[in-house]
Amino acid sequence: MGFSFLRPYVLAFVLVLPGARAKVDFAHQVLPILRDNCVKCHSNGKYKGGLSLETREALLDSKTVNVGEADKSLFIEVLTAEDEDERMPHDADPLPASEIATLTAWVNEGLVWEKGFTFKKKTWKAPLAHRKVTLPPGIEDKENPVDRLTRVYFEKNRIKPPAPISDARFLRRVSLDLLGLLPSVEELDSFESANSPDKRSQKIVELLSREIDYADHWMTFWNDLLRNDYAGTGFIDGGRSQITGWLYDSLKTNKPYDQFVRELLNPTKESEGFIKGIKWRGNVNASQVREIQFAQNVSQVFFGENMKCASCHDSFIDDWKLEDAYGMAAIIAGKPLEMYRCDKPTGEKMDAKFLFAGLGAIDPAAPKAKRLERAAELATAPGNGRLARTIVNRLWARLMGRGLVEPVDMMGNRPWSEDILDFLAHDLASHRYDLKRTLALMVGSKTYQSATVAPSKTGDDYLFEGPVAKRMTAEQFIDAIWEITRTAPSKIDARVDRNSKPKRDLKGRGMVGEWIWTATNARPAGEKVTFIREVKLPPNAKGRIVITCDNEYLLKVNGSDVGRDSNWEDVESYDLSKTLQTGKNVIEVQAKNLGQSPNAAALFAQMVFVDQEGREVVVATDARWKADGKPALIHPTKLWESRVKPQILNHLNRKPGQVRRVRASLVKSTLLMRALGRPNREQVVTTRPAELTTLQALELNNGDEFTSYLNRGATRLAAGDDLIVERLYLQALSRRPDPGELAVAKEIIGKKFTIERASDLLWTILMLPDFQFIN
Amino acid sequence: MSNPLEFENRRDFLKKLGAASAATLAMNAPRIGAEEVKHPAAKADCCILLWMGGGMAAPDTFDPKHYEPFRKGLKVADVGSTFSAIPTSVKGIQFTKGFEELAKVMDRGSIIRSAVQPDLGHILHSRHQYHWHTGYVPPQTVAAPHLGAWMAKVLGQRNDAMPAFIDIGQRLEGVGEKEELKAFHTGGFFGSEFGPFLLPYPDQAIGAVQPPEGMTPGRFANRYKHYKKLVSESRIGKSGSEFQQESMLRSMDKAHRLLSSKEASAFDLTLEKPGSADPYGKSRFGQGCLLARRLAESGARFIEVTTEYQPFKHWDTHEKGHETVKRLKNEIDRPMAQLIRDLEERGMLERTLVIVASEFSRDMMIEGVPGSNARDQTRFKVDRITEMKHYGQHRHFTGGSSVLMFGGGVKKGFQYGRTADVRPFVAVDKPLNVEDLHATIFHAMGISPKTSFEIEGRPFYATKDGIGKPALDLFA
Repeated sequence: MGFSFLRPYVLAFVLVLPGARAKVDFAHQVLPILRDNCVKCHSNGKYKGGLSLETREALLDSKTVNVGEADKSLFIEVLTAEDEDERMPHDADPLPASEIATLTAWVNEGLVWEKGFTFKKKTWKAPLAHRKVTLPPGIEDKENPVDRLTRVYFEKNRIKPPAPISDARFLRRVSLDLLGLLPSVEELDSFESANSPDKRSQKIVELLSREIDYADHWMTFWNDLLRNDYAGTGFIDGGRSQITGWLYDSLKTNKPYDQFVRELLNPTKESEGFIKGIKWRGNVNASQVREIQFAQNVSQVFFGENMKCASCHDSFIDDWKLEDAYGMAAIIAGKPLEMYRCDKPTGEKMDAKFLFAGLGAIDPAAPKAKRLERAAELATAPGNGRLARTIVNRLWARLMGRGLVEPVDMMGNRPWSEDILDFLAHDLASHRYDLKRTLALMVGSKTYQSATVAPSKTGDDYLFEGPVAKRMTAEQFIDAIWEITRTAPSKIDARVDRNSKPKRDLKGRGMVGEWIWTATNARPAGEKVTFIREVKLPPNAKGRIVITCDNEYLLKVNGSDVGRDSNWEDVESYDLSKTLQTGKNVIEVQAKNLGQSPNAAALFAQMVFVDQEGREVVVATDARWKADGKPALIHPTKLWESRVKPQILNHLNRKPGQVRRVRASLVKSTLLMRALGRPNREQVVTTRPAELTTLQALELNNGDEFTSYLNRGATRLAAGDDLIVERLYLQALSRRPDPGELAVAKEIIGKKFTIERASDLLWTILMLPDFQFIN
Repeated sequence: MSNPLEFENRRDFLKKLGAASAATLAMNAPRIGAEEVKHPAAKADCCILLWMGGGMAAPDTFDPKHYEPFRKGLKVADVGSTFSAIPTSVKGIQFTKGFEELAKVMDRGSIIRSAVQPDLGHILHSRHQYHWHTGYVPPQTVAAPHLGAWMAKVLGQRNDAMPAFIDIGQRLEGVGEKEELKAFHTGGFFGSEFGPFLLPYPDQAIGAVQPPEGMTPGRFANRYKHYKKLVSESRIGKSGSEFQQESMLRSMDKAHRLLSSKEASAFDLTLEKPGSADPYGKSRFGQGCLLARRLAESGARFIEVTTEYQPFKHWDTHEKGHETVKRLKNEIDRPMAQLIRDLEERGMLERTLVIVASEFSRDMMIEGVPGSNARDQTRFKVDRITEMKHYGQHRHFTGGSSVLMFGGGVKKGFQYGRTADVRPFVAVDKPLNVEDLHATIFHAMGISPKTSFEIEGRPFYATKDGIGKPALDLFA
């Protein structure tokens, strides 16, 4: 790896700079000297000679430094005192001249200190192991454990518990939180009118059992955390790979979280994208090579530890050292990893070492695959309570609007309730790491089911007074808009299998077609092939085809054009019923290979025909098809299949008329989504901005994309009846309008309800804070 | 003596100090460094960056070298510039042919001939543009904010009804490397409040600040009036809202104000009189310069106008360099010069910093810098020129590029640094790297290069690690 800064010609530039000596850098130059030589006796309760070096203020208070004048500063003078009793550091060798020079320059240059930095050690240290919390007795046996713990907390802190919320508000909140969807008007109605005392718990169970909606929604959360997306930097040149299919399946099946983490750390081809990171062409800063990305991302996402400081130098905001970051990095390194301090090589090599070394060692001599396997084992070891604490805290923050520990990526900070955190973490770990169980525990609590509050104290003094309102994510907002205006796009971009049942290879539903062409070697660019298959059908047969072609096809049935496409990664299906006839039917595909030079080409098609009695016949691409008059050849490679099989299965399994709603989390980011805070996912993102900014507001006032949704939705709305306002309120806000609100809405509608007025009514309601926040 | 600090030495120490310095010591010491950043006095209130996306070749633009006209059989190694040199209004400073108008206004500003960029091994426009616009080489552990976002964050809006940071002429959809471009056209971790207001087509800019298409101003005003009424009737409105939701209403209010303000007319190029619009020409870049002038007049803080980066288009000449640059100059020379003249005429140039820059330069021979192992990306690896398409600067060069600066307290008719007269044309005097160049720009705008904000518990600086040093020679 060549670093530009070390190239001789650049050094030449440096040499011609007149008097350009860089100022002393506190973090990288001064801090290590103080830490290694001074603070042992001048901090944390030991203040020998009355001198505290904990903070800049403390140092100034000691009056041993005359800022800007090192030669008049006792602090410097004592470093070179001839009398050993007076010389500092005491009972040690004198500091080397270079270090004295650094400290002297530091004093002369103004005693620059890192903002907020202190040598004072934290008095509280986050434990690593799990702790079983003894629950206080419940008011009744069934009382939710979270409520038992918050009750004690409220009493102890003399906090008035927040008021309970209505069924309607609960339903809106819990649907958005668990599935990212607004409850439908019918769902709301039946929920409100149900009499069962258990109806909220039943609803929670029902929502969590909707595995497709659940997976769709939690893709947003995990894509942010695992920096996965469907387009972006690095994908185009293979410097990055998606984990989309694996992630979706994991969410759909509620994969135990420990297994989930193991599969990410010790991955298969499908899940390797996370630890692979992003590779940029060219050289990158030593703290951003892929190995270090691994150290940073794994530590942050799974353990809530920030290794970004320690990737460059020993951290001064926590106890992590350069060796810790490189120890983690070495787990995935192909060869022993040389440490770089602040982008300069140190000459030292670092062996693989797990972040929490106490959990167990990793054999540095083992091959990479073994080291990753071992790391996965240690990450999910029974002694590692941090794994569960971190995810439990993230989920709490999602549901309650603020974490038990904040920021959620600094799990070394003290939670406002150790008992709640430890209880939930231990509960998760002792129940197969079932995340849905944890979610159910949280949303099942009265604590969750209570009115949102504005916390009266923030920062270190924070007190939990109740849940905090959350702004909808870009995806929740857009899903809601699509639903209300019926403007969702027709296709998703994520390559995921959205079938709720495990794939069955039933006749007609499984994938039986082959990939065919005239030959299996690389085909010339622009080569055209006509494929023909004849099918005899009884009267009134219905039929459907699922098709894709690398690269382009025109599909004709009995001479009529049915469809065409030139992107093999998009699979299409067409209803053939109208073009079918009794007796002989000719299915013709005019296929074309594209590109600049010879490349692989293939066609896939599978048809299902159903006769009047409901009997199915499947006809799919195979050697019985004619390719330019000769039997087609079957391509042995599964190259295409690996990319489009889930899509093909989605098409094959779709019941007539059944279309899964397209969710924002499954399509590529749009301008509107970006404007509303969907990140570009080059970095791990664990919290999104909570506030609507002016530029976002502008986008919602006159942005093309949003305006088009409104206008399309308005057309349908304007055709509606008198109850339109009530229905919109129920749909968007899960409640009926108050009389005052109804009056304003009627004003907007005016005497004659036009499309324009419908669009204005829609906009007005969708812009209400009541709508945009999960209250 | 177990306690030297407390006793004798301290006495000695205090004796050495005069009374005055002892008093100083007792007072609050001056707070320097990261503790409390001291901003320099601002020399400009507004910054306009004219961005030559794709790598503008200094030898064919502002830093003429040995000129050889095109002829078949010409040795590539013998060519420095493919344009002849022309004089400017400043004695001793020459440009290349095609910049006759800019040459006339050179006496209003400075030229930096020694800007340098790091060798990142493999030269990618996306990485270098990210670096130039944020001051940080990607990848980064946090999303780095754009230069304009820093100004928006630290200096704020100049006018409440005008976005602080406006970006003109770059599409983020429909062009190559769009995802990479999106990565730095952002407010970074400052969030979208400080991000760019994007106007890819200057002649359609007014659309961005008008009510949506098809909506009359009357209906637009009415819609908002009803909205406010409905909010006050809603539970939030009645019960007194929570902080976030109040902040949402404030943002809605600001957006609405912009969309119905008189400032919105600044975005409408059709309101410009033909006489004053004509010199800007009809090109997208020219129109962008005109729009920038109007927005600067109306109180924008930072405006970037780009020739638009598109792989292998415009300045990104991997072939036909000479012909392409000739066309480009024809498009941009007059509008840039006119912008300077207009600002001057309106008395705004002194308080407006105008910058012309690019992510790196280009060279006929060298990819990167001498000795670099960057992969040669020219289309034609020929020693002798046999066709016109071979004639031009087709390799990416990071060892010396030109930056123009006007206004904002910058010296007039001044040259800073220089490149070698013979190849390699590396900066041989006062090389100025991206960090220092940014520090210089920030200096003019009244922002300390050490300005930092905390993100994920760490300080993040306006210039990398806070080390950027302004080139003070540039200022009058």
